[in-house]
Amino acid sequence: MRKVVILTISILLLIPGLVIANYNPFAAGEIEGYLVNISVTPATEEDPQVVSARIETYAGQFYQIEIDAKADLLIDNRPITIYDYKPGMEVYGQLRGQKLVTLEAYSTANMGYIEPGSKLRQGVITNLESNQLYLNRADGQTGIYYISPATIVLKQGEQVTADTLYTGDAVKLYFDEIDTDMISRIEVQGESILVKDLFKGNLGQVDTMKNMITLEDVEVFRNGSWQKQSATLRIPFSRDMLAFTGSQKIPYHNLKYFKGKTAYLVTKPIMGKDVVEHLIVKNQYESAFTGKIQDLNFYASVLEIGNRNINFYDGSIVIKDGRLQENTVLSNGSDVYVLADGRGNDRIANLIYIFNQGINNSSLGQHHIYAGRLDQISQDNLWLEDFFMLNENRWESFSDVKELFYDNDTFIYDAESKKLISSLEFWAGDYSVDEDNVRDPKLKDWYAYLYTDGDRVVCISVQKKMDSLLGQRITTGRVDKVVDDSMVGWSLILNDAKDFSQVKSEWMLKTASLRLSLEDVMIIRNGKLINPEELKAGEMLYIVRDDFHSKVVIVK
Amino acid sequence: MKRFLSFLLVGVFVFTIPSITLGEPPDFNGGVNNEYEYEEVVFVSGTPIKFVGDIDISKNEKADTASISYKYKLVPADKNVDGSINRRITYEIDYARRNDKGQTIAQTNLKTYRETIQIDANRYVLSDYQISKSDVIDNRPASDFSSGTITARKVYDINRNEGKVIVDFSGGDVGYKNFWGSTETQILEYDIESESSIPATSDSEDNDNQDVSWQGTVTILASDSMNKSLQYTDNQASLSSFTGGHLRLTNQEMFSRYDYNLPYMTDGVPSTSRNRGSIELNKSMLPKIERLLLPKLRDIGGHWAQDDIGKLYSLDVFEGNSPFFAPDAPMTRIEFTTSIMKACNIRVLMEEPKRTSRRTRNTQAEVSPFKDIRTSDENYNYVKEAVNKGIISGVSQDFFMPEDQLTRAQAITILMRALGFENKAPTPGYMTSFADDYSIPEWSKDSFYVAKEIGLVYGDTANRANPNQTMTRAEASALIVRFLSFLERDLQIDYREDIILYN
Repeated sequence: MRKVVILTISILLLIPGLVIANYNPFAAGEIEGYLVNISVTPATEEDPQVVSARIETYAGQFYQIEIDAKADLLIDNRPITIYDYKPGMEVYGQLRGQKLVTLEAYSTANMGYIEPGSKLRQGVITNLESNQLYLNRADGQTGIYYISPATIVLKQGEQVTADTLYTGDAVKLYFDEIDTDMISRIEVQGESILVKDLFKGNLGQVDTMKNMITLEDVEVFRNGSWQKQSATLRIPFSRDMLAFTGSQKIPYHNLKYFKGKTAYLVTKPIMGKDVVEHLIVKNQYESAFTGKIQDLNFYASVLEIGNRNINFYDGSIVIKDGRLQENTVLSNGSDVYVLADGRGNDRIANLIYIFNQGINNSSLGQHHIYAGRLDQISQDNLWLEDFFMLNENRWESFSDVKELFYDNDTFIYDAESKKLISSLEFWAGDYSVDEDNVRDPKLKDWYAYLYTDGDRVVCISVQKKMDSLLGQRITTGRVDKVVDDSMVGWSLILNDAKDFSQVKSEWMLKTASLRLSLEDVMIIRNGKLINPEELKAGEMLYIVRDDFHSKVVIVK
Repeated sequence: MKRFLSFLLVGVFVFTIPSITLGEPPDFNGGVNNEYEYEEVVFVSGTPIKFVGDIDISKNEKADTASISYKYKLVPADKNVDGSINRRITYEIDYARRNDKGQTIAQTNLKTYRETIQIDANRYVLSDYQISKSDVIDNRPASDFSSGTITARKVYDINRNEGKVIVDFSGGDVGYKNFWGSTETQILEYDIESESSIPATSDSEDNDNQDVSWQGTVTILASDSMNKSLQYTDNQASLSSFTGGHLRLTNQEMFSRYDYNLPYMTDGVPSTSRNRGSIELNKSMLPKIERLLLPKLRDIGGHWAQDDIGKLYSLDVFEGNSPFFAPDAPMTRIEFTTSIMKACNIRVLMEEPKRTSRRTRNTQAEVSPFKDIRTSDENYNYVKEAVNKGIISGVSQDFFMPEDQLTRAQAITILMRALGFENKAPTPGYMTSFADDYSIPEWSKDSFYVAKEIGLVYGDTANRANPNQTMTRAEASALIVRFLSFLERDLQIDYREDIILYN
C-alpha cells in the first residue's frame, strides 16, 4: 500500500515538469515569453507578405510563428503596428491554427502615470472649510478638493498662503496624480476677479458684433446710493455675460429688444477694459432695503429682511468681499443691502450686497489683532499683559497674560521713531522693562498693536502710550485714492465704507466717502508690512481706527 | 482633352494657408495695434512713457523661410513730453519641417535693426541687438500648437558717449493656430541697466559730471488673439423667404500689460524709493462679417439640436439639397469624417479623376487605402486625407465601413486624433472616471479620458460614457459644434485669459 502511495505522489510531482517539458503553444492555443524579433517577408507575385514573430518562451524554447494579417497587435492594450514591437519585450499571444491572432506586449513601467501638475480643475470657490475647497467648475460640475501643507498657492505669480483665498475667487487647481483630490498647486486669479463698478441706466444700443452696450442716463452705485455718472456710457460685455429679467434668462440675441429699459450692470476689470459680466433688466419697480437677514430659506429661495420676504434666484447679483458670488454664500444674520424688483409682497432680489467682513477670509485663516502692554520680551517670544483681542469686530479685554512668538521675519515698527526695527533691537531695547527694579524710573513698558497668525506675530507696531480702545471702531471699504497731504501726511479716501456698530452688532453703510490718516499706521498686505503709497485704488481694506487716525489696516 | 491636374480647395470657406508667423503680437515690446494706431510703453529713460503712432508690418513667406519687417514711427502720447521713436527691425525665420513627426522647428534670426529714441534732451541709439529665438510647432490636423523661447539683449548709446542702457530680456511664447482662431501670448522679463554721466546740478559744488546709474525690471504680458464665432441674426422683414441666418464674425484683439519696478526719477537722477506699477494697453480690430448660407430644413424645427444643425448647414458641412435632415437617424462613419474635415477646414487635395485615354501604361492607378472606398467616391479625398493625417484608421487594415453607424467611441476618437490630444492621456493601465469604463474599447480609452478632461464630453445622468451607443445625426452635430467651440473659444481662453489673468 505504501509503495502505491509513494508512486502516486511521485507521478503527481513529476506531471507539471512533464507538462512544461512537452509544452506546445500550438496545442495550447497561446504563447508567452520574450519577443526575439519580428521578421517581414516581402510580398511576391505569388505570395503575399508574411510577418512572423520569433518568441522565446519563459521555459527557453524558441518559436517562429506567423502573425495573421488581421491579428490584434497590442502594447499595453493599445492598438499598434508591427513596427512598434521591440526585441526583448514580454509578449503574450493567442494562436488559431499555426498563426498568431493576438500579440500583446507589455511596456509601461508606471501605469496610469500623469505628468505632475498636468491634471487641472478650474472654477470658482464656493466654500472653504477646514482643508476642503468646494469648487463650481467651469464645465458646470462641482467638486470637493483638499488643501495640504504642501499645496502651493500662487496669486498672480506670487506665492501666498491658503488663508488668503476667498469664496468667489476664480482658481486653477493642479494635481500630480490621476486619481487624487489632494491639490498640488493653486493659481488664483488676480484683481480681475474684483467687481469694479455697479452701473444703472437705460439700455441703449446692444452691438453684438463688437460686444458693446450703450447705457444712457448712467448712475453708479457709490457709498450706498446711486450717483450720477454720465449721460451715456459705451461699455464692452463679456461673451459669457449673464443677462436676466424678472428672474428669467435673456437670450443673447434678444438683448436688443430691451432698449430703453432700466438695467443694472456689474463690471470687472478684464485685460485693460471694464467689462460687463452680469446684467439685469429691471422688470417692475425698484425698492432698496438695508439690514440683517432675519431668516433664510434656500428651498424656497426666500430671504427675510425687515419683516419682508424677498425672493432670490440664480441670476441675483450677489457681491461679497468685492467678488461676485453664488447665492449659497448668503447666511442668516448677514448684513446686506438688497435692491429688489417687483411690487407689493412679490419682490425679487436683483442685487444682494453683503457687508460682512472679518480679519480672516475663511475658516482657513487664524489671524488675530491684539493690543496690550508689552510685559516681557525675550529673544523670540513676548508676553502681553491685560491685553485686548479683536473678536467679531469689537475689542474684548482679558485680564491675563498672553504669550506670543516672534522671529526675524516679524515686521516690527516703532511708531515713536517711525522706523522699522530688527528683532534684535526689539529684544535689546527698552520696549519692556521691569518697572519695579529699573534704574531709570522714567522707563515704562511700551504698548503694542499686534497682527498674528495663530500665536506667531506677523507685525507689531509699538508705541509708548496705550490708546483708548473704547473710541476705536472697525471700518471696511475700498480704496479710492491715497494722497500725501502736506497738512496731515499720508491719507486715504475710502469708498463704500461700512462701520461696525457695536450697539446694533451690525455693519452700517456710510453714505459718503471717508478720509483717514495713514500716519503711524501698520498696513499689512499678504502678511507683509507695506508703506501707504503702496496701497492701490480698488483694494479692499479692513481698518481699526480711532476717528480720523488709522491704527491697523489689513489689505483684504 | 488636355491632361490637367487642378488643385482645388474644398469647402465654401475662405481658406487660409496655415503658416507659422513670428511677431504676433508685433515684435517683443509689448506693443498693441489696430488698423489705425500702434502704442507701446518705453522704459529706457527710467520712467514709463507711452508712445503712439504708426506701425508697418510686412511679411514675406516662402516654403521654408519667412521674413518679417517692422517699421515704427512713434511719438509720446503725453504731449508734454518731447520725443520720438524711429525703429526698423527685420527678422528671418528658418523652418525645419519634420513631416514624419508632424512638427516644425522655427529658428528666428535678426537680419537688420535700426532704432533711435528721443526723450526730451536725451537720444538713445540702438548700437547692438542680439536675439536668439526658437519655436517648436506641433502641426496637428485640426490645429497647430506652438511654444517658443527667446533671449535677447539691446544696447543703447545715450547721447553718443554719455552712457548706455542695456536691456536684457528673455521669456517665451505659446500659441495655437487653426481655422477658427489663433492666439499667441508672450511673457517677457526685461532687465534694464542704465549707466550715464549727466551734467552736475547748479547747486552742486563742483562742475564735474555726475555718474548716474539705475536698474529696473519690467514684466511684459502680451497677447494677440483672433477668433471666428457664429452668430444668428434675425431677418427684420416678415415677408421674406427666410426668418434669419447665421454669420461668421472674425474678431482680433491685442492686449498687453507692463508690470514695472523702476526707481523714481527726478531730472534724470534716480531716488532710492521704487516706482512700482502696472500699465495695460488694449486694441481691437474692426470685426469682419461673413454671411453664411441659409439653412432651410423642414424637420429640425423645435428639435433640441436645431441651432447646432443650422450652424453646420450654414457652414456647408452637410451636403445635399434635401429639405429633410433626419436628425434622429444614425450618423454614418463617412458622414462624420467628412463633416469634421470640412468643419475644421482641414485642407484636402482634390484631384480630378483621370479620364483621359492618354494615360500611359506606366502611370499607376491610385490605390484606395480601404477596399470599401473607391477612388471615384465623392468623399474619397476626405477619407484619404483623414488617413494621411492619422485621424482615421479604419475598422481593420483594409476596411473603413463607411456606411456603418457611428458610435460615440469612434466619434470621440476622431476628434481627439484631429486635435492630437491622445498623447495627453496617462500611461496605459488606468481607468477613466466613467461608470461604464469597462465598456470603453481600449483603442478609444485615451480619447475618452482626454475628451472628458478638456470638457468635450460628460457622462450621462448615471455618469456613463455609452461608448458603443450609435450617435444620431443630431447628437453628432451637437458634438461637432462643441468641437468647433473648443477650437474657437476654449483654446482662446486657455492661451490668453488663463495666462494673463492668473499672472
